[in-house]
Amino acid sequence: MTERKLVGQYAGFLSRAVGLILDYVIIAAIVVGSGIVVNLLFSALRIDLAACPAGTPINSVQTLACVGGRVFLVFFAIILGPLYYVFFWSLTGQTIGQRVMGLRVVRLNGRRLGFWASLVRWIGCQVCILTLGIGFLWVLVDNRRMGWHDKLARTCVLYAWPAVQNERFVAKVNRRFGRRKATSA
Amino acid sequence: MIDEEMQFEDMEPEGEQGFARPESEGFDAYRSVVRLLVGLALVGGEGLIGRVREWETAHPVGGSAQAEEELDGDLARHALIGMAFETAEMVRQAALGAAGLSVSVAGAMWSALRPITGSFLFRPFWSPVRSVATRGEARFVRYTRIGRSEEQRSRKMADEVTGLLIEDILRYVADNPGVMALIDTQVVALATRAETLDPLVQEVGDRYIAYLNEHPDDVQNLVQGQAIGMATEVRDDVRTVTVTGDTFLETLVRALLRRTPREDLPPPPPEVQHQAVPGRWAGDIRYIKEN
Repeated sequence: MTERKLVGQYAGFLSRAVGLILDYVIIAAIVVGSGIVVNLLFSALRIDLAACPAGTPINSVQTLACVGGRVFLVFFAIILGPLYYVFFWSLTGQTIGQRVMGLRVVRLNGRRLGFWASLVRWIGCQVCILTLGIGFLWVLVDNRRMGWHDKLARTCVLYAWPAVQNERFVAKVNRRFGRRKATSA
Repeated sequence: MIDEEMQFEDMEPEGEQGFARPESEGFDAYRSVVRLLVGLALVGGEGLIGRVREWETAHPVGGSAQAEEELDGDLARHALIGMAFETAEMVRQAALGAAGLSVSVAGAMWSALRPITGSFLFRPFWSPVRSVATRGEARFVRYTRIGRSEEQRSRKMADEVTGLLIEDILRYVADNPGVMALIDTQVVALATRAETLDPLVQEVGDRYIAYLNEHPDDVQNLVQGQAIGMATEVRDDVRTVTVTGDTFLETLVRALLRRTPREDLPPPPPEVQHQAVPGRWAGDIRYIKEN
């Protein structure tokens, strides 16, 4: 059985999902790490970030710094996601997670993904999340393995490495489900 | 030792008292020595045969030896060795042949002389002959029974004597000051040798450590290369599994949704495939500048 190299072919759901999970882990690690660093800095300045819950009146430099630190952390956590994705997609076409999994995002016209296209794609990802992941699952049934965010930004995800699959297993699966379909038909 | 032999004398053969000599007569040195010799011969012979069998199994006989380039002396020696091996078989065959021949001759003669020996002239001699034969048969049976029971006792006696002998030797070795002095001498010699070996081992170790200190880059590259190689291997394995899983999941979902199974995906246009060329990471910045 010869191995087919799948480099340049549309990437499937599982590879993309694993890449997405890796990206989320990285983002979470950055958020947590930055929170620890900010807390340590404020502790060095003798400012306790836990001492100013929401609604605390700003009546001193201490409370101002405390509220400012908390707002920064929240803002950073919110902004980090789009920053991360837009930066990596527009720069190289692949995030760190996608790099690990050997995937690359490209535009359907063959051009490089720019800032706006990256931003639109990220917004499309949020739409997919809001629809409980249905937009992501669309990859499973689409002929070009495109999710809603891909269709929105007119992008697709390709294997960027000489991908090979276990042909024997795939043939077995195809036989199994192909036969069932033929029987039911 | 006499007490122990007395102890062996007290051992009764099981269920065979009817023919054995009464043990209440006391110690009989001859019987005990014979019993011991028989036991040692039986046990030792079996042990020897067992060892030889193990050795033969471990070292099976190979193919025929090369007969080329043998000197006359070699030929004669080999002939003698071969004859020694063949002699036992020849003697056994000859004995069997002689026994068979004597039985045949005796049978033939008996048949030929039957009219004479069965005549009234020989009738007065038959009664003493039969009596002698009956006594001989009884004696033979008695010997057989004694041998059967004495064999068990002899084996038991040989086993116990061997064990006692080994214990005596060990006790002697343990209590002997000469042996202890010999052991002490060997221990001291070993310690002296360790003193000479330790510096040698240390010197070799120091040499290796010095080499590692002088060539840290080589060692670092080696370790890093190994680590990167392992990480790459794991990554490729994960990728292969997920790529296979991609196809599997799609096939499964399409089967669940009762859609036709997909044979092959339509390939992306060439200009899109071109964008996926791997190994672009290092040249990404240049690529952006160029485009």
